[in-house]
Amino acid sequence: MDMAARLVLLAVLLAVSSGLVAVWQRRPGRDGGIPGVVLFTSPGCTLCGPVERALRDRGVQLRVVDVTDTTPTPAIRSTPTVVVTAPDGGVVMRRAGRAALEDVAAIAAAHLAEPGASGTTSDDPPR
Amino acid sequence: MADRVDVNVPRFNQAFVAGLLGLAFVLQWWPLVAVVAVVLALTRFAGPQWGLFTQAYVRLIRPRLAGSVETEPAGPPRFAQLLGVAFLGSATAAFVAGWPAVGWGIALVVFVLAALAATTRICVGCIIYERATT
Repeated sequence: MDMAARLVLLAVLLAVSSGLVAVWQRRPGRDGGIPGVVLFTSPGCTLCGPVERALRDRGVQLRVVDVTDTTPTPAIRSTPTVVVTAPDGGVVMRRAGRAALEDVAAIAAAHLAEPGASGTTSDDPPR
Repeated sequence: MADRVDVNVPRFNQAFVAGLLGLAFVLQWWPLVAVVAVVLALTRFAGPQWGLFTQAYVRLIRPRLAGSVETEPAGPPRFAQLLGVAFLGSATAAFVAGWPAVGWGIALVVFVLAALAATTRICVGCIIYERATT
């Protein structure tokens, strides 16, 4: 097998595997693999670990961001804070503190709902 | 939270692994497969401070990134790295034993999985770890 054939083989392998991944990511219930849930954490946050585990146990693909790293995030006043976003970037739901742990089921449901079904922002309930 | 890793570290490692394995296959130079296996093994067992690819990211790329650092549990990518060491170690052994077809077959499997993980964040080793530990 000459070098050109080897290059072609690599390209074919990558193309086939990428195609299979693309098909797998478009299966029902998936949003293309783009995580729409962000969990903001900070060092010493005792609830952050349980919130993350509870969300992952429900199949939520989430991003975890440490608010103390590099760029400050002024919109986040406490940790844990969970933000669920729609595919267009709009905020669907936001929960902070103990509410983030208590409303894990609602957060997971909001994330796994069909795109476009959300249209309102649900912030922390008044206490 | 303890034992977490910057999500870009495994992706950068996987990109390097895929690139070097692809180069090795094109040039038909199997010692490069062994080199990649050694680098992965050093990173996994001696620590990230010994990881050539990890240090390249930490020193050259990360200081230029803006925004907060996204992290993920370190367990799954470490397990995936262990699998990479095992597979590439097996490939190296196949080359030494005079079975280049077997060696390249294994190396190409690792190449594809590493390339996919680097570009799509789908880490097969991580998925295996998560399924096995839940």
